[in-house]
Amino acid sequence: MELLDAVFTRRSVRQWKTEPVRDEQLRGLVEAAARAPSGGNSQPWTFVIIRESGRLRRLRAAAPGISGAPAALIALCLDSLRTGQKPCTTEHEMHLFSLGAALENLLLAAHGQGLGACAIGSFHVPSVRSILSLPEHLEPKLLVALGHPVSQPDPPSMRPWNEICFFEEVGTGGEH
Amino acid sequence: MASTDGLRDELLLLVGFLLTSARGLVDEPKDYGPARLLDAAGRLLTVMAGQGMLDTSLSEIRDEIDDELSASMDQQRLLARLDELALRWTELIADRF
Repeated sequence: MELLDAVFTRRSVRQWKTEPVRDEQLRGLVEAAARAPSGGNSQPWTFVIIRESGRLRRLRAAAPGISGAPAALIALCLDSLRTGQKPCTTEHEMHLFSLGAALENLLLAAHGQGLGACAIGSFHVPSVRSILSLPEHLEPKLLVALGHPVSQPDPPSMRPWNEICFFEEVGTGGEH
Repeated sequence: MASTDGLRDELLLLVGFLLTSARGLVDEPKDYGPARLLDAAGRLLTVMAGQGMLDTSLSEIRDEIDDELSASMDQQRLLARLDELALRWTELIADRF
């Protein structure tokens, strides 16, 4: 799949077949995620792959943002051993942007492999910490639910071009 | 049909979903609230299905909930769907109580 095709055809998939995702595929997704740019090459992330059905079921309960039953989940954690403990700073924001870049890489890689994925931000952090036995220095920031999609969702409605992009100055011609 | 233990497990997971939803909704966008409740209704119907308690009408409602939750978020569509599902549920139980 061409890169731009992947960007424009990726959807948030929330219904999956029961077919498992192979470990090599899951590993490949994390490898793609870890290739994302990060501020100062900090690589501030740790990824946890979850495949066991019991743990997946517990996570579905602790993460209300997951609708449907994914075949696997990947938790994207910020690692304070790499970021330091400096919340609410520009540096901390940069680490979050880096994690966001890793997320997009992961979602596009999943799409490129014919998988369907959805980023989840709604979950109870202490419960997810407990289920994944996360040490103190790992903060779960995002979950990615994924599997073999039942279908390709319709494209979402998009904000108009002239509302989101301007040339040179805000308020001037957003031609498309 | 699921065993009593199986039913207990399913309900325990549903309790967890409701608890973590309640906590999450304190900080989350208010639009998420209706979706969480709709999801809870769908999960409860799935538990009922495991107990052989779903007739065709309820199965159709569950399928529609799944469709809604798997689509891109659209508040207008969600509102219309909630109105329609609530009305269908009302008509469904009219003869039962």
